[in-house]
Amino acid sequence: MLGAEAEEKVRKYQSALRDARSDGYRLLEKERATGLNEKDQKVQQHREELSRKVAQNLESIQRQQEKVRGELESQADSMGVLISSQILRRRT
Amino acid sequence: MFILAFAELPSWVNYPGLEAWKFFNLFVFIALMTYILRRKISEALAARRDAIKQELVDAQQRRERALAQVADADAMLDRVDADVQSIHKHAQQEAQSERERLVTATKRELEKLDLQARRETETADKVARKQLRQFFANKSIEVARNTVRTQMKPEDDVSLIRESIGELRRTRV
Repeated sequence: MLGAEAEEKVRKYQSALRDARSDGYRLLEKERATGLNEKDQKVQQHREELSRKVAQNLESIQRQQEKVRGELESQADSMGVLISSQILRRRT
Repeated sequence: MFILAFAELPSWVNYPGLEAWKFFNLFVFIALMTYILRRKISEALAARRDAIKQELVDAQQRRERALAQVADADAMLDRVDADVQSIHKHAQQEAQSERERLVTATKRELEKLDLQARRETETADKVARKQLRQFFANKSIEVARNTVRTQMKPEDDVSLIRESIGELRRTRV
């Protein structure tokens, strides 16, 4: 009788603790799922943004390269003449 | 028994089925057996008494243990709310830690992406510069080569050959 009473009380105690732990696990899982979802969204958004920026940068570099190539083409003429005059020991 | 059988006795002593000699015999038998078995009976009774005593002690101990268990269980039930609160608090702390860990991981991931993007841009920039240097050098040499070819006179040729020979001599010395 006393033993059964004690067992019943212990069972109640353990049941309450088990429920509390289950609640804790649920809370943790919820937080983890929410956090992971937010992380994925942020990373995806940032990746797209960076992709656009990199594409813009590459385009800008290409434009600058074309522009500089045009300038270098005219400078290369002068440099070529200078080199040839040095080879031929003549003044430009 | 003979005395009982042949003496003049009242009639109730020899009542059929309940004769007095039978009771006398029974009494003698019990007395004899008691005398013979008194030690064993005494020992058996003592053993039984000890066993009962031991059972009483065991029962008392079991009762005390059961009471102690009930007291423990009562104590556990008294602190159940506190324990449940402690578990909830711990779970909330873990959830907070998990949130912070994920925020840190997100930040690190974004920084990694930034670094990758910066490196991609820097690499493209370096490649473009290298290509431009290469272009400038090639173009200059091409112009120089064409100019030398078109403007070179025989005396220039001779002069260059002499210079080359002079350089060779200086190298040997």
